[in-house]
Amino acid sequence: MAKADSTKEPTVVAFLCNWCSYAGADLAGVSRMQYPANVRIVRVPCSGRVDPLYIIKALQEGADGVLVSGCHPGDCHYISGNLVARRKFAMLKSFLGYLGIEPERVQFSWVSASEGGRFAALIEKVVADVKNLKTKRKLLKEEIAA
Amino acid sequence: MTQVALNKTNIKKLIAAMVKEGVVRAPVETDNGVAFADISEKSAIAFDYANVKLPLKREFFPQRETVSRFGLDGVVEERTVAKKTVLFAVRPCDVQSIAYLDKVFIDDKYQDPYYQSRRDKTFIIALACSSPASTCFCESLGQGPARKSGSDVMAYKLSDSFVFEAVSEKGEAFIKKNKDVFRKVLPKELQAVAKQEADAIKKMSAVNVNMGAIKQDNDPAIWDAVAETCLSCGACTFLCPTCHCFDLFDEKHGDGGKRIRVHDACMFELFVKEASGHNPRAQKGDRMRQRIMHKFSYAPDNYRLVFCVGCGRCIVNCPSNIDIRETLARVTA
Amino acid sequence: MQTIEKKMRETVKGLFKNNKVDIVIGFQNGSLPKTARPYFVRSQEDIENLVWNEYCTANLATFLPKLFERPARPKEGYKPPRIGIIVKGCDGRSVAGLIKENQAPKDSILTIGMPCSGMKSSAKNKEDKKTDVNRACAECASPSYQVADIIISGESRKPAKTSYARIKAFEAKSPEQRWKAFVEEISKCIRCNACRQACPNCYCKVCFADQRKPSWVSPAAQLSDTIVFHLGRMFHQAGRCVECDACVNACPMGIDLRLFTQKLALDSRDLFGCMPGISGDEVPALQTFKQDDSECFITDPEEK
Repeated sequence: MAKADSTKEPTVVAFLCNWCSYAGADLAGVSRMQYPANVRIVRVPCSGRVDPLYIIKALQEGADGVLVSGCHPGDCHYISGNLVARRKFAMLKSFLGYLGIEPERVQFSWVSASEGGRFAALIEKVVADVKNLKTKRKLLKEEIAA
Repeated sequence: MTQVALNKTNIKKLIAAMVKEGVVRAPVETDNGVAFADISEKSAIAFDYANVKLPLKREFFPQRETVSRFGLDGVVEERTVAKKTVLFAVRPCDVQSIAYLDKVFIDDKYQDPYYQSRRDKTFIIALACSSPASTCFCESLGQGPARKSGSDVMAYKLSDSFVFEAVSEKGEAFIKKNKDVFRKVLPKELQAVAKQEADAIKKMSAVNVNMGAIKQDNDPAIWDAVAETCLSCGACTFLCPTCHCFDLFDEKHGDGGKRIRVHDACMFELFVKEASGHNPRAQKGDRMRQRIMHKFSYAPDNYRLVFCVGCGRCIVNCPSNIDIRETLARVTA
Repeated sequence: MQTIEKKMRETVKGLFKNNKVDIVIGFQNGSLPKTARPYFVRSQEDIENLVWNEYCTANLATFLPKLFERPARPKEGYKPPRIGIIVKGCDGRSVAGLIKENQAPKDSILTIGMPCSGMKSSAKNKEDKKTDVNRACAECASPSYQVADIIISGESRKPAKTSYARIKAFEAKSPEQRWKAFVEEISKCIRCNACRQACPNCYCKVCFADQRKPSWVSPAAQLSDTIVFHLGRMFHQAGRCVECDACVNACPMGIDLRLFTQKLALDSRDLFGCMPGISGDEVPALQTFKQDDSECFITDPEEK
């Protein structure tokens, strides 16, 4: 793995639910909407599938930011996956923030399959937030930081 | 061997002389009790405590150590670059533990290069115990609060002075080299040393069990009963000066990675779980039996040594207060 | 304490006499001064060893999941053991949580609720000497388990109005200070897993930290992985932690885990109104949801 360098472009890992957010990202693509190339997308069946460890590990392994996006509440393909996830994400964001990790690094959103523009705007925002951070990545593993 | 003395106020001179030669590590007060740390002549060395929390084995056999690196261009064995180190004020029980671990890591057939390189570069000055804890029982194992063997120099702290006694050849050379710092030892100081040892022995607990009487075919029910409240954490094992089991695993980094050795504990449930899924020691009683037998039966068979130095760390730190002294009494009954 | 101890022993005697239990888990005097330790009573003869004093710190619920694990090859007519368990408020909350999570069958458990005046740990680590009892006990909102099957009468400590003052004080620090404090505490960890093993909620057959395909954390005490271990382990308690401090008391290195686990308990209360195990009926906060759960943390890219 190339040594991470804070002057390089930040990497944002995005966990997108297959049915809404991933489809929304796809729509942004086919509509030729431009959004920052910093994002690395990981498709999951549902935002409820996202284990807090995915987020923590992504940050440990070098991600500058992590985004999780799912269907809007009420629209989950699995009925309530995102509703369960909503509580989990609220607690995780609060806990990580409490420990000193910048809230801009871990963000959650809802993007539906028809919201290509919203997806592009979301990536713009998250990447900009991460780029504007002056502080070093705290969870980064020593070997990568070295 | 040569005995010398040093006034308390002159200890800094000795430390300064040692610091010039290399790293000096000694016990210091921290937020979390007394622990070994690199010191300078300005450091305040702690002397009034029973023992440090972490065992000495970590100086020679660290919890995590890279043994080799592998990549697209092959495998490269990691070479430990050990620095010349003086370990000052090590309790005799911990010194013994290193002598025991030497039997495991350095023998005529195979020498562990990582352990050995650190061992060769380290000079040990032991410090006799004046106030052992009630959980100390080194005397019952044929050790003692002033046992010299295994160290290079043995130090005794008295009220106004220290007495230093060379134990090994390296110790003699050390005392000779620093003769300007030392002075002649007084007879009353030697008397105080003997009294300190006798008093210390009175303070510790006596464990009168016949170690040889642990039968190999003990009823499993006894072991199940002993381990009933065991949590299968690794506190006893990780804090034990003579426990030495380790695990090797590979960590991938990009196109290559590292092979790493880490401390492991036979008390962990997964310690001997096999790739097939079978776990030969799935029951707590079996794991307890393994640990006790390894220390008190198999080690004597293999090394003619009981792999316990009576430091009492396992007793103090067990969350369920499982006491090895009681265990020994139960299984030798 | 004497008469309470007597009442407790009489009750346990009665349970064995009437063949209501196979095992009673309680406390006996430890081998160290000012220590009590977990003890399994399996017959009438063992009962005289049961004690009740201010050193009964451990959370006994941690033994339950393993005891109820169905054996790999159960004998004909296997039935789960009937277990009586001496509970303080914290143990009781844990038992309630375990029953809710199907780790212990309610019908096989008899909780014996003791009046708890607060417990003291044997000083193996330097502790905050400002309180005469453990911090968890000084801040405990429910010292006795009110819905125990059998209640031993006696005077309990008054429930504290848990203000989570230490958490709020920590929050007032800067992010850099908070991270530094967190890393400093976690640096003491030797990965002995005592915290995990002592916690009643950590009953996974294979902990995430022990999994190898994929490997979330290495087994070694490398700081980065140790941080992830604690982050993961503590977050797995979110909405479930009863703030008993079993982890804190078990840790041989004296790590102040409470400073972090309490944040999760505070959030569970403030965000979702969930205090695990208090009434014995709550569903853990993260195992349920409400339609109107807060969305204030959600990033809305279209918000100006």
